[in-house]
Amino acid sequence: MLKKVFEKSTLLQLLLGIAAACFALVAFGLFFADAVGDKGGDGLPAFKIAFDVMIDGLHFNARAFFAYLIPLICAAAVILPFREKKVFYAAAFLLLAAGIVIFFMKEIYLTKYESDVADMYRKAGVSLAAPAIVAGVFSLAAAGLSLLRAMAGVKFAVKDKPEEGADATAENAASDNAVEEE
Amino acid sequence: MKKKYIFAICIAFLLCFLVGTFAACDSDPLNPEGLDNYLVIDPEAEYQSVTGFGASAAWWAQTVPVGSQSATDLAESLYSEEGIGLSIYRYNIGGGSWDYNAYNDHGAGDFVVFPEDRNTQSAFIAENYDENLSAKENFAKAENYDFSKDENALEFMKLCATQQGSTVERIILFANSPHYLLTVSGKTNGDYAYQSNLPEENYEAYCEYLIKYLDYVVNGLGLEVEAVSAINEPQHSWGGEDAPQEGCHYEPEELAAFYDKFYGYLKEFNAANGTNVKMDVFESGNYDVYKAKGRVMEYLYAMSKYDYFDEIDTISVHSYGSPTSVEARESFIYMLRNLYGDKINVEMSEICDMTAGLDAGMNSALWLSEVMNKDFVNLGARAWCWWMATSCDDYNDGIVTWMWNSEDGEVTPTKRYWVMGNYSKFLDTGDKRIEGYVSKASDGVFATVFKKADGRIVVVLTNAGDSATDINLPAGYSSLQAWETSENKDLESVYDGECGDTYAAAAGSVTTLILSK
Repeated sequence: MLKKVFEKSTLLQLLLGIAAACFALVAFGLFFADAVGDKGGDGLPAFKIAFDVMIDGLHFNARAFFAYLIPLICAAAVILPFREKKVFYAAAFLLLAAGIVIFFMKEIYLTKYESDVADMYRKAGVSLAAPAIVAGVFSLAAAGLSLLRAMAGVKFAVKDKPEEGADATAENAASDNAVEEE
Repeated sequence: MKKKYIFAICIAFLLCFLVGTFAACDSDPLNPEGLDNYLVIDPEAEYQSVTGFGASAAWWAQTVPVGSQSATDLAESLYSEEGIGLSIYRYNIGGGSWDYNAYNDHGAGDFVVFPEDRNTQSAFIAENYDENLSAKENFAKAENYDFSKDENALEFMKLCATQQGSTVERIILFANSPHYLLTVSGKTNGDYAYQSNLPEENYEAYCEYLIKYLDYVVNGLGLEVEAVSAINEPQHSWGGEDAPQEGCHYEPEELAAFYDKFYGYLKEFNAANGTNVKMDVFESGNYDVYKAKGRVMEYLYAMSKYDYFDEIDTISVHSYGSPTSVEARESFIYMLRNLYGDKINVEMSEICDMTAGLDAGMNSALWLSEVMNKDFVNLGARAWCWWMATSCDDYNDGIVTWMWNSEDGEVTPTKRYWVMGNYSKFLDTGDKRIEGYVSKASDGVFATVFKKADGRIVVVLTNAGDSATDINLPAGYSSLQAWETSENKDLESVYDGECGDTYAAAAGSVTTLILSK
């Protein structure tokens, strides 16, 4: 049923894309906003492990940078009207990966320690911060919405496929206009 | 139609739930009337006991001429009832960098005024070092020491501890680095960042060095020493370009193994001298448990593998790194309690306002007050120490300014000094911190609350805001005294009378209130 709806409404697709982008941005923002705004200046408190993995003690951390830059790019990607709808599959995949990375961040954090020290940290109560969990959920939600848009978009793209022939371009342009008017 | 009713009822329930939740979140059972800026005091809810306030004598004390007017004035300002009555004296056992003038311009920037700023004297006579003997043998020989080399600092400590009206209760000897003849680099900092600069073969030689100092202070000067702190901020790099002062990096296992040796030496010293000198561990450079380079829990864990850990009931930490972060403190305490229960107490043994340019006014003092509040409330610190008591540089690392080396230079308190006094002058060892805060507080308004043995309540109230704020006082107190530090007042008595319903906290002020029944 959802497919049918998305096939017919570009507006709904756009809304879906915006929702996915918002979710991704909230996920991203949760990691950065409070961290940057922390009055203590260390930026880490609310994010505990998630933030530590992200910036590794206030030093640039490429792993974390890409893990959270990519969702941001995805967020932008799902709003843009790409004709090649596979872009949305890629965005969905990357957002899904980002969400999973967030949920496994505690284990990622502990991998740098010897096993006995990692055990000590577990006993000490190392945990993912609540905002990180929320960010993970938002990232996964964004992935889901991107996936929906991608699935709908594939069908939509097939429907709009231009006819063979000299006036295919004109027809295609007319079809685009029709879609924009919906 | 029926569906609409069900929908409306659901929405109504949802709204009630949301409103109720917000109301519940906003209510404070200790502020039942919901007053703004209400000072909550719950004397029955006791937390940690206060064990003192202090500062470090590193670097500057070695420039205080013996018998000078400066010595008298500084001692009185810092460690007497006439001044702010600090009770913890932190004497710096130097690593001897003065011998080779290491830190006259090494990475310290423009704020270094004197070549000797960060160089330290050592009592060990380097010229006597005999290459035919082991390091341990060299550092164990009493004739290799000349304590007159650090006479200024040692005599100043003695003056502070023995002057009339002295408030010194605890003397802690601390070292930033082993003597340079004991290190891998041959200097009191590493050749490169995070270089472990004390080789294992010199652990005992370093113990000998520390014990010689301890012996001199106890038996030579006749002073009671509470603890020796052999290691300082071990997680920091202290090497290469990042070493503007003496410092030594230790990995957790190295630190723990060294303490094991030193613990044996201290036990022997105590047995021979009838003393009870403790190891102060381990002056952690921070308590940032989630920062990659924080590592405070790793050092504790390494120590916990040794028998001596059973006798450790207090650790010292520095508030650098996250000086105003509540979460950083609470995360650390959470982990500490999960691993060691209530066995380990915390003392905050060093902090300064690490900003270039001297800010002697309320701006830095209000920052200090915020750090103190969070260290007592969120870290559960029992003691609180500033870094250097005295500075003459264009830097915020002193609580008073004084021209180093001068015979009679003026001792000029900064506002930080007075704000420390808002705590140190009114709190004694054994006073308890109790539950207390400003409920529904305006921005910048907070309080740290203590109870004295006689039941009086001491409130250190800060109003960092731009305007005066009326604080609603709790009922049940008959008299109120107030001492204010602000732009125009230096820990000045501003009220002594009946306890009314409110107290007007001046803008940009720190005020000590004493409430009596």
